[in-house]
Amino acid sequence: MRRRVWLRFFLRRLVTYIITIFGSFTVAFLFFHLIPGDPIGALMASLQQQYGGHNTASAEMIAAYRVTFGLDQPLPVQYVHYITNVFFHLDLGPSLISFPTHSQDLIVRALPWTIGLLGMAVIISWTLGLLLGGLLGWRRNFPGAQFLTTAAIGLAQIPQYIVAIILVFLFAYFLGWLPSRDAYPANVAPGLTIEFFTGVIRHGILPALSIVIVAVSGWILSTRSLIVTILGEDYLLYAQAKGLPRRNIFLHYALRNALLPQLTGLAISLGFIVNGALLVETLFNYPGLGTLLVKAVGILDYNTIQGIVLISIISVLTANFLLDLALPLVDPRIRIGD
Amino acid sequence: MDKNTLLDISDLRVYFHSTHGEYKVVDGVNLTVQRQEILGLAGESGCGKSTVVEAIMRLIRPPGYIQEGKIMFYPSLEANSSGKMVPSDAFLSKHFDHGVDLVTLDEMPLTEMRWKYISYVPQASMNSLNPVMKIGAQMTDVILAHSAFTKNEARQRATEALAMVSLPPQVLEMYPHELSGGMKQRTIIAIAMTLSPQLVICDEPTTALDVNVQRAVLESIMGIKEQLHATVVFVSHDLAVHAELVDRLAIMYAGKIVEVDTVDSLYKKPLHPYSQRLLSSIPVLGGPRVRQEAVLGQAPDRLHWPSGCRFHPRCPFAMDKCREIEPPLIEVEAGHQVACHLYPDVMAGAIPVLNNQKVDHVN
Amino acid sequence: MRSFFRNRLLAAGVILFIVICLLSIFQPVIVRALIGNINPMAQGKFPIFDPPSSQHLLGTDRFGRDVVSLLLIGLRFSLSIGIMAGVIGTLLGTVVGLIAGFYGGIVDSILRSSTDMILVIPTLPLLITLSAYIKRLDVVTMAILLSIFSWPFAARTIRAQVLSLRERAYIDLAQTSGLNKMEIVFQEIMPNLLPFLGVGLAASTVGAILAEFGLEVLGLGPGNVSTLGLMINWAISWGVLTLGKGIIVAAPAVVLVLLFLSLNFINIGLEQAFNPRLKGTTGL
Repeated sequence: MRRRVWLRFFLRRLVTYIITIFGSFTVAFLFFHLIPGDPIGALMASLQQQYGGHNTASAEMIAAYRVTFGLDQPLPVQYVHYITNVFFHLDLGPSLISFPTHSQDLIVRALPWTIGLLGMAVIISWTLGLLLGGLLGWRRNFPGAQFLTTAAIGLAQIPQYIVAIILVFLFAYFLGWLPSRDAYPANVAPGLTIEFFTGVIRHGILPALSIVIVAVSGWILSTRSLIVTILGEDYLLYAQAKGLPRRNIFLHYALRNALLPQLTGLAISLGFIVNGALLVETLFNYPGLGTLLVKAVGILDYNTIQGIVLISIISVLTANFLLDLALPLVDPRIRIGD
Repeated sequence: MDKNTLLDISDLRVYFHSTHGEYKVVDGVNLTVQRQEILGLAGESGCGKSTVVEAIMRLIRPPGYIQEGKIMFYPSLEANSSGKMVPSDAFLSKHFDHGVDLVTLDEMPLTEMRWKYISYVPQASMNSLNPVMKIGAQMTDVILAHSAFTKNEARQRATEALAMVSLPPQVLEMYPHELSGGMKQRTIIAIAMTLSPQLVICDEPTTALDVNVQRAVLESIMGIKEQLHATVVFVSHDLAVHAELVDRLAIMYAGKIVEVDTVDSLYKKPLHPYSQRLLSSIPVLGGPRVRQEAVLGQAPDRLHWPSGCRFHPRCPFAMDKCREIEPPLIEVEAGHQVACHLYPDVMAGAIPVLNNQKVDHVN
Repeated sequence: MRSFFRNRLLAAGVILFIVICLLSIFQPVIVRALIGNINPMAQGKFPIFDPPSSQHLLGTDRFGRDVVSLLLIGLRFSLSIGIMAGVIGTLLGTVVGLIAGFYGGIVDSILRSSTDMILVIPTLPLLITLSAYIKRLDVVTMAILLSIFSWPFAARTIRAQVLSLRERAYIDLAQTSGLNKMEIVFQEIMPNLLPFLGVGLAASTVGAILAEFGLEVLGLGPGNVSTLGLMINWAISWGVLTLGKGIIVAAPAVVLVLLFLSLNFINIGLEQAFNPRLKGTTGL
């Protein structure tokens, strides 16, 4: 019986997810076609101008592109072409940054860096924030508590980019301990080598730290106030009356009840964190989507821009979907009543 | 001390600190609880009865604090029948002969002895169950924390406890939100029984339940005394329930005890004017039609209790003495205590009767 | 008043914010006092990369512009854009929230889905795209752009409030029937929304300033104003850290941090005021 309930729950969520993905595609399409500045016309003009004349091969490619994406046709037809190409064939068209490479290839190369950096940073800050915030809410007077709370309040909404600048100044220029650019040392080739891995880690510390410092402060504060509220709940008092060890009460009665709201909060705040992370990448010239976007915007590489907008939205929606699925595991009240 | 005394509360004062002043919610309570009895604690809202039992459980939280008083607890050697508790029960061996003051007990021994000796069925128990834990987990965790049982044995014990309140073992796998109000209440009572404590405190367990469920809950509580041979302190404002359930009843008013007696004797012959009014407000089925006289006036301001006897503003028999001197709680007959100036002066037998008497003045 | 100052966080935040506002308001006066009648944005008026001195408290930048003046201009700009975008966003969001909460049904579903969508997705790529393609980015346009992405927050809060108030209003209506439904609802609902409008405004402003900063630091804001983000962008492109002129990047960063700190303190101070248990030491 339980399994069927879960299946229904899963299917319902899946359908909603697919609808939102599709909706995002459509909205993105309209977005790009309706903003002033005629992005597509400009793209075609650039393509033509830059690469059309150089050799017949690229001229043919541009002509083929026109046909595939139906660019001379009315809007609805373009929409169909767009969905077919982008959604089903995953083809975004040639980029301007490195013509004739298609945009999707550039994005696929950059995506793992962004996801790796973000994923690591988010996981670390959420769990750390939950634990520290929980402790702060539980017992307010251990040494350093006041300092930690004030620091969290101060840091929670400073742009991650600024924190990154400070970190770079401190650790890269002043102390020279950590590198300030790129994802791995210039003299190391990517591959399954120890040097590569340590290089990646070294280069990843400062960008990740910039994101973590700000995000963890937010989590500390929200968990702290959540735990304080939970402390006033009847079941907490009852747990105390039962003479359970304090650690037990903290973990199973207090923190466990904070998991659901904080997981939901995570889903909602992902977009915000991604914003900050993309910016931080640009400071470090980290080869992720952020840096790619800035490059694309510099020369108005329409296809790449469109691709990055799409992929960033879809990634967050997917992460939300997965988190949504995890919610019933955390709070049994979710399963029923759906 | 009388070998039969389990709990001896002397001069308990629990105050609540606020910007307006100190709320003297419990203001000098003296009460004893005998072994294996069901003692009822009755009174209107705000009289302090819940706070008294919270103090026994040491669950008073800021801004409340125990200002003064002793709560002596005398655990007995014979009562713990269920073997396999903590192998060397340090607490018991240390305290069984001269008792322990619960007010000043340190946190460590307090945590150790909680639930194993004194357990609690809180008010509005619906919210006392952890929403994210299965019932089984919430029952076994307390068993495991206080004993040397294995997980399976603990589960077995939990199942037995559930059976004692007529709940099936399937409940162990359920979550609190899947249970009805009455089931939750009975679960809490079952949890209170799992370690076979010597004292079980129930705070308004039947409030907010419909009559049928009330019956089931009351039966469960009676089961506590019968099956565990435990002592029960039962707090409720519902005098009808007290009549059915308790052996002795203590009536509280304005932070103090005003009358204590066995329930039969008390209901037949209430001495304190407040008790008389309270008890007269229970309609009697099949009896002669009498005019119901309620207690006149309003509950007093908890920040500023009235001077002298706290009931004097609402008492139909108030004298000048009542306004000035607070009457002590004295034993006027065997087992019957009352705090009222009427009593040393009035001959036994001549008791002011309130029913059918028109009262023409209230102070 | 006294209880206001007892909350140190809130007091600190408000004082800092007032100082910032005063600096922004009197910016032209202060600038004129510092460097005379010279246009602070004009290039080549002062020696390039001058170290801090009595004449230029924070030195000059690559184009010989007084850093302090630039800072004040940037502060004023960031603040005004933030507040403008915050106000527009809150207004938009309130209207949406009112409609969604009041009419319910399909309208509510559609509005709620779109609100939630915008709240959830990363808006920076969209903002970047918009700023890149819209060539003429003046203050008002930018404020409107920013508010497009900040209205959902207010919408959500207002909608929740309207929903809960609607229940209450109808109960009152049942008792005093015959009065104009619209009027009663407006009279009942509106006043109760004010505190939430306040909180929504503060949050929207912070969000707008953050977004604006993100755009400028990439060089996408209005190029003719030395906004704080833009100053940082310039500083990095000039490589000031390697040149040892760190102050040119540190100054706008610090000012920005102070701005955010003040807003943060106010936000959290307000939260503490409503939930006093967050202060002090009431543990188990």
